[in-house]
Amino acid sequence: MDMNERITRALDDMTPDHAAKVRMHERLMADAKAARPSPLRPGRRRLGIALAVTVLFCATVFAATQLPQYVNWQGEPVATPDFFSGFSGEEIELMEERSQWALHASKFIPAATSSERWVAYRILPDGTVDESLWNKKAIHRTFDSFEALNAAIRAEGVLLLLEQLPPGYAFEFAQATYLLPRDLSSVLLSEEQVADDVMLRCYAMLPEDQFLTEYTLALAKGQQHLRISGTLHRSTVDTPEYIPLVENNTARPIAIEGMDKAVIVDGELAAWANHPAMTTRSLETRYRKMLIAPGDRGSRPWEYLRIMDRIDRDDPSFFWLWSTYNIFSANALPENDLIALANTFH
Amino acid sequence: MTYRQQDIPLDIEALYTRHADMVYRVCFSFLKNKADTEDSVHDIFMRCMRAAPAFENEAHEKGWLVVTAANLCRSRLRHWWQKTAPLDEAALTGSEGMPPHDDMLDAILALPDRYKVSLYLHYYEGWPAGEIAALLRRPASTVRNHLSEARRLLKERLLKDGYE
Repeated sequence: MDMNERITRALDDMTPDHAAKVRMHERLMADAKAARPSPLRPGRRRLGIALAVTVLFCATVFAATQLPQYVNWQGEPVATPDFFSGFSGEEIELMEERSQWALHASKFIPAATSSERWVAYRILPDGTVDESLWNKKAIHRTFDSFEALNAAIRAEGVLLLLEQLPPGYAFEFAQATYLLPRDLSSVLLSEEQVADDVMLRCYAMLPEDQFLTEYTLALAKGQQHLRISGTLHRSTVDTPEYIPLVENNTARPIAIEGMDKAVIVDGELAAWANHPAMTTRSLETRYRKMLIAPGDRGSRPWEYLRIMDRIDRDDPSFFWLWSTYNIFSANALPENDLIALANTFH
Repeated sequence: MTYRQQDIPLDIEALYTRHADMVYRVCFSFLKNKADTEDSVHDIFMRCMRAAPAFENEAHEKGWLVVTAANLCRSRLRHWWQKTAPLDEAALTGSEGMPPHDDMLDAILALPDRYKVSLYLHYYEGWPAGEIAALLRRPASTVRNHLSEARRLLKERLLKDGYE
């Protein structure tokens, strides 16, 4: 092999693997969606402020580019959610300003190491640190087997996962997102002003500081692909939940053992990147939406009731806590098989 | 392929599909680890979405992304935490930071940063020196010198490591 070929081959070795491309694609699509201008006020960028409604994103590598339509848990079409309903113009301005600062501050926040993590705080024009406005980065961990992901989820005892790998399916990849709460068990190591309006504080990373709040698992059997994800949600109001559909998808409610709600969605996907066009079937389900009273530990580990950041130790608010799960099958799995799979979530 | 008029929103997903591999390779050649590379790829496409440049053709589109990638990576490398707190990637991700590779990749990663964009565009994308020079706004002779010097350094490094 000559020198030129060898250089080309080495450069080719830097090509991202499939899992990396999927991770980057999903992250980009989520952030791109949040950063797009709001149709309410053209020309002004708003970041996602999902306080008024909750949209359950069926996270998939095949994310469609069409504008989504939405259905409720009965599979009935609903109007496009208005993320800003119920907020005054002043409140929206304030949220927008805070979101802009958070986006700006994120550039200065390093990725956490195994021993340290960082939180950025806003510095006000008078030089004081605004403790109420801050930003930080979550940790994304990959797992090299279903068993490893399963062990991590069971150790936390909050999210659900399939009991075992479905027969014949091989593990492809798994990733989990861990939130790092701002102020629980924090040991401050150092602080540094990194911009006029950003104070960066470094905290010791303690095992109890990390909370698994989201995971994705990819499995394959021949041409069949499954993407399974679970997400923990929290809201101070009983938010409507919307399931996005793309054009030509159909949705209908079904029953899944142990779950509050579930819908099954049939659709088709146009070709994307290296994937051919295919039929799809997915299942979205919700587990135990509970109203948690102040100080109520509920039936889940107490730490989880405090992790959604805005909950301070003395926060008097009631709030809702629940989790949702999505199984997405490319080259559609038969409906009964999909339901049987969802029945094994525990 | 048709290119975007200024009043048509940029299709960031289509752009990602077309160029994610290229942007990733460029970023990896600077940053040398997967975690920082993925963050940078994300930032570059987000930056493109916000800037919404009106690309005239595919070369313009590629060029914008390559130059932005190189600039962003250089900026990241200069940032203080890259020097003071390297990411403990193995502990965080449980995966290796480097793809499977031979000595040539190590040699490319060890090249001075100023050679990397020219090397990538010439050897992987097949751009002639004149076009690289126009993109980087440098004299063509400088680009040719960079390519020649990069080849010399690669050869030296490989000979030192026993490559024949």
